[in-house]
Amino acid sequence: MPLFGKDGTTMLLAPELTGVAMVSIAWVFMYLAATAFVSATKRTPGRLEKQMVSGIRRMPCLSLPRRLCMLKIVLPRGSTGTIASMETCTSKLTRSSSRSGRTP
Amino acid sequence: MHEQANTFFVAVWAHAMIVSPETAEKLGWTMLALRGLYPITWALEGEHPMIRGPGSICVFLVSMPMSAISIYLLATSAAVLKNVDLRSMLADYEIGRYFSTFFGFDTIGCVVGYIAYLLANLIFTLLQPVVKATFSRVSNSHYDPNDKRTW
Repeated sequence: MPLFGKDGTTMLLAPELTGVAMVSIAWVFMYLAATAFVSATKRTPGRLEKQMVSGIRRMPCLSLPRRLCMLKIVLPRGSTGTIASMETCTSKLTRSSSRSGRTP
Repeated sequence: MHEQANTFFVAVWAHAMIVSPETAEKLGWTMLALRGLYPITWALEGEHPMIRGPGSICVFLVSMPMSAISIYLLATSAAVLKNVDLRSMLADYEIGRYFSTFFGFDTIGCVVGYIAYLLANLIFTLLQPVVKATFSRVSNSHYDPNDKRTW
């Protein structure tokens, strides 16, 4: 890999490797952008708790009490946020059950 | 992206310096595009009413093609270093000549890389119970690796 061009100018990379260098720089920029987005919005792609709760909510084979029981197991205990999310889940479950005509 | 960065940089730069910078650049952009699709597929899968949580589309359509490209880039680099001509090897087989009329060598190589990755995962899955048996059971009966509250 030549460090100097024919005309004496400094050349860090061979010209044919310019494209690969561009891809690498693009990767770094994309990584920084994704990290900044996640940090700014406080979002993570998949919080385990959220995934499990949404998964349980979508189990049509289970009755409402059983799903609520599973939610109690999944959700961590002793936090006000948890209680709020439990209540939200409960109301959503009740609504979805009443819409689909299932008896809870 | 942090996790995949090592594989990406090693594979792309090794291929560019050993085999072909043009191919490395082309496949590097492909890998970058696939990685860009990852959060989108994750979000769509996570919000989809019929799919239970994100996972399969992300893995099979985004992560595994990326890994297949990495395998292809590294395998061709290793082949050149070992003076093995994979193109002539492909042309030796009837099926290789047949597919070469429709697809390029790079495409076939990536598909082979995908199959290799699937087979490797299959072997790991089959071996998992054997490896698991060599570990002693956790004495704490409350410990559950899938439940953070017991960690």
